[in-house]
Amino acid sequence: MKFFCTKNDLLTGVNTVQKAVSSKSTQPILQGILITAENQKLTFAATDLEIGILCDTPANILTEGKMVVPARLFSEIVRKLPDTQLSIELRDYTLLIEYDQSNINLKGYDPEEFPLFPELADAESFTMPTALLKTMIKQTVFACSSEGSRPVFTGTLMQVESGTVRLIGTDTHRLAYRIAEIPENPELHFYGIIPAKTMSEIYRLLKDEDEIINIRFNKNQVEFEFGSVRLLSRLIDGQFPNYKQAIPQMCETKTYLSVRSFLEAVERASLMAKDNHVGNIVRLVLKEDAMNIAQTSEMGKIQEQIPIRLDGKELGISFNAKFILDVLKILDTDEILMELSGPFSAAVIRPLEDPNYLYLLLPVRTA
Amino acid sequence: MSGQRYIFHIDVNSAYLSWEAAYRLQQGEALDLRTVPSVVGGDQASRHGIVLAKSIPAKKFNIKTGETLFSAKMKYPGLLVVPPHYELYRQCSEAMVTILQEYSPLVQRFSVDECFIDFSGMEWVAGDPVAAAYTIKDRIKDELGFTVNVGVSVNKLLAKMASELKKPDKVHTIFPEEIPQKMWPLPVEELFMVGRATSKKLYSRGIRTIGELAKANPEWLKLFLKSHGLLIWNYANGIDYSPVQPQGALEMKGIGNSTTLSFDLDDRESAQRVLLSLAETVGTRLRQAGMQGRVVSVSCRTHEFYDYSHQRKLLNPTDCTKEIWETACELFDEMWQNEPLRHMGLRVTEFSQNDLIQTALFTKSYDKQRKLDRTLDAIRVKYGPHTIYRSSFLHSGLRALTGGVIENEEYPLMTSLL
Repeated sequence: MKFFCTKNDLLTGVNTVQKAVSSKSTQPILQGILITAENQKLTFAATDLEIGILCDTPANILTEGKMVVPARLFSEIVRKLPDTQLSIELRDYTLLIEYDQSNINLKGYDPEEFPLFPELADAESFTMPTALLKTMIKQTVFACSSEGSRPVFTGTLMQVESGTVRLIGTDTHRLAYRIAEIPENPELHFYGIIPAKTMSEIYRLLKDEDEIINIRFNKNQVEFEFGSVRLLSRLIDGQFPNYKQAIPQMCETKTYLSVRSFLEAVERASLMAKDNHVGNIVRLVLKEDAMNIAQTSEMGKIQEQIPIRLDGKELGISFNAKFILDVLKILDTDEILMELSGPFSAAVIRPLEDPNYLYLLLPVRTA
Repeated sequence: MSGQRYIFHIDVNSAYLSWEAAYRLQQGEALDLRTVPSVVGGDQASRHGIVLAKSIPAKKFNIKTGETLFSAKMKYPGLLVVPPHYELYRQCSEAMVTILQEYSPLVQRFSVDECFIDFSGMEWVAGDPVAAAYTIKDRIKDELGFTVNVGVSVNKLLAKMASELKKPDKVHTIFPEEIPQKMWPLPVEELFMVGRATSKKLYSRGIRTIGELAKANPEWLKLFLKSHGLLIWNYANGIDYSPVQPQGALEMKGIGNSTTLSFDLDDRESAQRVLLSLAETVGTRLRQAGMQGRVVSVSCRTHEFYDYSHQRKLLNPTDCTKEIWETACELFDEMWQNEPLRHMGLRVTEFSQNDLIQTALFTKSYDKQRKLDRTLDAIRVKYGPHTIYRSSFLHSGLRALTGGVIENEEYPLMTSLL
């Protein structure tokens, strides 16, 4: 194997696949990056067997071949290389990198040991605009659970049916839901739980210039293809609970309020909130024309009041401040509608002019 | 305020046995158990047959606490064995603490039969410390009918060492200037926190007395005892700054109960019942403490004395007996391979307070069960623990509630925390 390329070509490849490199595997080969030189392009590949990423970059290839390099060391080297023409050659499992008058010899692994990326059998596929998927991920992935005790909650549910695609994330204390239309494929049906890590990775790798993303799936795996990147992921086993049942159809109180003033008031009030085991708790008191958030601690007290519009019953209700802030930070609208039904029932937050999103939020109650 | 610090350590002489004897005399029995070779022992039939406490005459036959009744009887066939009454001991312990609280607001229950009190500054109210120690000792003897040793010194370690000197019914002091003459000649294993393993290591390196340990180079001790070496070197020199911590000051880390079964269990259903009886007491104690826990662990000991355990973190903390039990059963099913069991334990850790509850979706609701728990707790407090129990225990030959004084973690039996 021998090829010429630039530092940037290598850097793009390494940065793209980096997150798929296994950090704690018993198989040393998985801590490497597979580099394949073929058809005038370089393909970088890494996998931890849960997620796999492939990325192509152009290169001037003299002889074809492949090689597995240790990921961490190789990426450190690439970052520190000078910005000049590089010549890279493989000799007996050793990668010879030549630049200016200097060179580096890097030992690698046998590429035959590297696991093959499976071709999805019986796969179906659909496409959607990358900008839309990016927004959908941003609005749902944060609600996923980071604890593994119930694996289905560590992923977002992707549901494709009747010409729509939905993403749902929940950690049982809140639930984020987003729907969008994909009118080209009304017959398509898919129901799979995609690991939150995969979703975050796609979000990170999606660039605005990649206009369309192609999503292929079967029962166990899903593959995302965009630009020069192909990302493969295992789906999480298990049954996602019936989220539709959890969304209240009616409410006793409707309130309209400004995202910005709500966000700032909760942020300030949570400074004074007691950080206890359930998190930072803030108590909202909703009246006819104002919402009050009062917090007292040993260090002092804070009294926040923001104007609101309210239809229905007045009430007081407590929430984990983080769960409110998380959603307010990702909304693109100025105003939200919050629907409540007493201090012990779930609250629903909707952006005022966007029927495609909703956020369910469960209160904290006293025993 | 930099007055002299005075710490007392009050230690009941042969606690269970003294309490048993005092109670029996009160009930009109002629024989004082303390005057003959006698022990308080568990029930051999249900395999709790060990010596829990011994009289001083029994000690002369080299009978040791913790040895089996079988081997104790080999040493002295005429040994008198009486069964334990934990509820009585708890009451005696309470009564003693009530007296101690008259002498200082800072009373730390170190175990069921040992207390520390911080007497610093109290000399202005209650008089000379040593005289006060005598008063305490005599009052307990006269009012409660059992004897104690009181150790008086300037810190908890020295007070504890002092009370361990000649027994029974004595007051001893080990003030810092008395260390060389009263503490240093003692064999090294008499020092608090020097157990069998440590003393063996010390003996093999030529350290036989506390004095020799005190004069050893602490850096050298660290080489083979790690940080524990430094701790016991400090103790040997009478150095200890730990405060007297009244009840509740020490944060509870976990609540657990375990039980040795009266027969080897080999069916799943009985094992689940044992777990339920453990969950009942663990749940009650959790709720009494106003806590809920997130991690449930189950431990088993097989008939071949092989121990194993599993634990699981719950999605949400709980104080509900049923949820604890269901989790325990899942854990049990994961690890049990049908081998006969002689001992089972259940423990809940990772506490949070149960005053605020984050409600959740998609999880089984235990609201009704929690109401039931609270009702059962109230009935048991008012009418006694055995007035109501689950019918699955009927004719099962198993106790509906398991866990007693012995397993109570409020009294740490072995701890490096003074």
